[in-house]
Amino acid sequence: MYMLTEMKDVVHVKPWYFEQDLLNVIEDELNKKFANKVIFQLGLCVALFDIKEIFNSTVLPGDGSSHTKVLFRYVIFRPLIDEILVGKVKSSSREGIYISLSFFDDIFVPSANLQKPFRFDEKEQLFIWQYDTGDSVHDLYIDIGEEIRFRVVSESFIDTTPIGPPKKSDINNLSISSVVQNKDEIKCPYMIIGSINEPGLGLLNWWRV
Amino acid sequence: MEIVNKNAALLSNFEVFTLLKETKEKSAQKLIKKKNLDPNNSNFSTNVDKHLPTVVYESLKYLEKTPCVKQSAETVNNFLTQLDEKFKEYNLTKVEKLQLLNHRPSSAVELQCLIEDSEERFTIEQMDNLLEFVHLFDGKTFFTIFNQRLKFNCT
Repeated sequence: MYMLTEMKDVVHVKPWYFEQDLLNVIEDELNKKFANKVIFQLGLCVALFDIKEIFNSTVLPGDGSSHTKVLFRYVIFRPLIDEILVGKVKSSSREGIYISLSFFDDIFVPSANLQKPFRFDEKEQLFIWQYDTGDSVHDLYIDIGEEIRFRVVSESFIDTTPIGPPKKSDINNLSISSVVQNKDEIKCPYMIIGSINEPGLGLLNWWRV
Repeated sequence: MEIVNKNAALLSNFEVFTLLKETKEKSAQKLIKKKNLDPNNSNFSTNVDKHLPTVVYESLKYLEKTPCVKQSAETVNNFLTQLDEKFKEYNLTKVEKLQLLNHRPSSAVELQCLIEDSEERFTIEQMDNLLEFVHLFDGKTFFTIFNQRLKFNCT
């Protein structure tokens, strides 16, 4: 679920932090920069693990802060493909169910990856697994807030770095409404697609002995 | 920013849990120090970063519900060395051992999910042995548990 990544970055220490211990300041700055952020094609940064090497600090002309290159290791959350995870059902719609681990929310299980046979209850907006025991069919609801075990099937990274304003030639073609629509699209930088289409997967209390 | 080594190591939930507890301790200590040095500072809260405390709090909240809470460095070490010794012929991959450590499955169905192609690689008896070891392991040696079972069978 978690892995360690070795990275090198330049830490800018502002002059008013010079009196503090350099190690503490560097730790704080690295955590400030990376914690709870997604790095493209890497994963969600959780916390600094350790600092391996601090190189010489330099001061650039016209700027009072010191710039220090640091080699460090950071804990990254990135489940492997086919790994099993346990989360909570956050919400469900016709397309599928959304699962959340409290520190990471963008996990989606599309309806195609649910235990078959299933049906969708429109009134309660919940999925139901129609479990056939041979004599009778039990309706097992996938309720909100329930703990659920799922397998990671795939992941997707989207680069959300800002692309700047539209070019002048495009402005004439774009209508006001389409520009406004683009602003509303919130792209998810890191999304995990899961599946519960296997014995043992799904709500924990389905398989509790 | 440069990535030197994308996957330097795989971490178990227990290691991350320990690290996060230490990080939380350190932040609390720093806060106390700051307050002691400058109790009247009105700018105190402007430079407080919210990202690290958020991710630490949420991750701890999640990990507290997993089996890693009851683990210690010693038990993790014992678990892995004994898994290597007792079940050498099973040829479990590193990822499978890590998942067994993180999840500690209590039923055969769970074990089947975690281990790939378990029906083809192991017999039902082998699966039962593995399940018993993983589920009952509590830091003591497997030998002790095995001995206890013998005693029950004899009496």
